[in-house]
Amino acid sequence: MKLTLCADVDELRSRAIAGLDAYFNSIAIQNAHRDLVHALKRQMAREIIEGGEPNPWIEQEAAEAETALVAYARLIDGRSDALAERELLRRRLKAKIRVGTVQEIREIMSQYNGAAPSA
Amino acid sequence: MLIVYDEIGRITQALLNVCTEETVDLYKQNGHPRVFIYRKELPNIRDYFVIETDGVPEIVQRPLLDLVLSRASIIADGADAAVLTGVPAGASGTIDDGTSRSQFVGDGEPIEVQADHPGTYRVFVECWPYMSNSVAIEARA
Repeated sequence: MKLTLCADVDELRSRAIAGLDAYFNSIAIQNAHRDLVHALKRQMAREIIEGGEPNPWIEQEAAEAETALVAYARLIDGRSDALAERELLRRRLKAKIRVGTVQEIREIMSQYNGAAPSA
Repeated sequence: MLIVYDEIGRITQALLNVCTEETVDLYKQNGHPRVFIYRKELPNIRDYFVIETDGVPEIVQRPLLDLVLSRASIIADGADAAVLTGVPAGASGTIDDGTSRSQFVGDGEPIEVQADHPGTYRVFVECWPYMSNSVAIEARA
């Protein structure tokens, strides 16, 4: 009996695409979480400031949060170049997974199935 | 210890503190004909199975599948091959390359193992009543 060690290519493609989506989605979740924290800080800061207790540290936090929220708004509006580039990369990688060799798919999986980088 | 097993000798229940003939009868009346009282220790029921000899059940330790691979490393050229022995006919095999799995069924003969793609593969083999075993094969470019 002969046995050829090989990957189940259909399953490999399916897992690679799922892994790719998880990778890119985790970046989006990190962004969303970061901006949610900033938004909460800003809200707290405003409440405190409006309550008549000015605090330089909180004002600085609020300013940083404002910047982060603007950046986030750009991302979710699709105006961010970074978001567009990431989406383009995701599509290109998916296309490559759909037609690529086992070796190519494995290379993509090893690169993009690990922990997502910081946003 | 009360032992309940199925038609292939797999122990499905091992109950302490209910070792009475009445319990055995109760099980049989409730559709579990393969039940008996075992008077010794049984550390892990997964390591044992039941053989019936003339209708008398006996607890036997499950042997480990004795898989032997001639080489742990091959060249992934579709030609270089290692030989895997010890896979019984009808055994269920799984090849895991770390990202996906594929299946095969053993025919009882030695298996020539080759690969088209480099990678680290693990071949799992299951065949009741043996304890499952596996071998790792490195396919190099």
